[in-house]
Amino acid sequence: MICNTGIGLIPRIDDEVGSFALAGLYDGLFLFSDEKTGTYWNHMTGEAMYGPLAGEKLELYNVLHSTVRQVRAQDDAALVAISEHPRVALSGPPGGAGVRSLGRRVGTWLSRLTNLGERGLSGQFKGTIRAEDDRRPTMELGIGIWDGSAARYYAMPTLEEHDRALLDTFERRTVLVYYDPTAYALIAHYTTADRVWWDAKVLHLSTGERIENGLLFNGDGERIEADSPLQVFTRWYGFSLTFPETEVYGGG
Amino acid sequence: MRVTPLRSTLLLVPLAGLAFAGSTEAQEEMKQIPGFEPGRAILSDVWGFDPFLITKMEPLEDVLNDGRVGEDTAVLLLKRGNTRLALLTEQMSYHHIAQGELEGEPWMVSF
Repeated sequence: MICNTGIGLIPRIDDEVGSFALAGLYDGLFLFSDEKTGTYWNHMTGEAMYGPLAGEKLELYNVLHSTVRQVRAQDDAALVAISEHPRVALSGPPGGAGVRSLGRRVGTWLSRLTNLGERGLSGQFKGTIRAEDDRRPTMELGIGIWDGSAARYYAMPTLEEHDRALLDTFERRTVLVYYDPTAYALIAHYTTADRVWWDAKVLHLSTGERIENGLLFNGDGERIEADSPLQVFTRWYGFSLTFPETEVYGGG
Repeated sequence: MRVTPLRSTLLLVPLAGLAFAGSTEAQEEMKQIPGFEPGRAILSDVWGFDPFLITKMEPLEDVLNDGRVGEDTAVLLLKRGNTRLALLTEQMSYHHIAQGELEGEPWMVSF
């Protein structure tokens, strides 16, 4: 979507699995609704905003921007689901020309994302927004993290100023926020490190851990799972309108 | 996972009489969370995006080997239990919602 926000939700309502579909737009962000009650839900927070179930909330989990290479490195038994919908069905070689090839390279995807940002929000989207938060540019890419009602946004330009990686304290825990050069995405996870540095495309942590090709390894070279706050790699307008009280790392 | 009350202090505003176009059992009372302004919302799917209802999953290795994806293909990665599932980012930019089941549990991704 134009705000580039991906998040996982458990679609269970009162012990029943609901069927959801995109159903509207609010604050420049898509709403989805469940077939049974017609309630409108916020796609980023899983909150029911309007309808019979308003006030309820779906459980969230993180979905990460990644690449096929990274996924295979994590799990050689990983699965993929490929849509055969005629609007997006695959044909031709990856990254080849033509509508149906869909530019299946991450660089191509990033290019499209950048182009969308340069175009800005359409009038249709703007019409659903009362007032934007002007602390940052509307279409700026960044990562937003949250825990309960606490939220913080890290802008891509800010990460660049910090050599693409920074340590911060969020809700009394140290969080590492970095730019993954292989997935072209911002990532955040908790850490006990007090210093990080790059060696080419490998990010080293003072704990002896390292992040390479989007994967976290301990000092013995074993791959380990990161403990992460809820997060979205998104645009400023989407995160700030969803979390109006959000802090901005570095001020703003 | 359960649907839980959002906030204990949440005030729900009943909007009796507002019908919801497009819902099946939705002549129920419409409520809203504080601050939500239906007047500036578009409350219909004017774009016609179909959700991705997943009935078939394949080994990523196979799909790479037959050339349908490349090593650098952008994906959204979710993990439920011990199972990792990749969704093609480009396809999700159309569907916006994918839904399925892993290890016997339902999941959904919005994008």
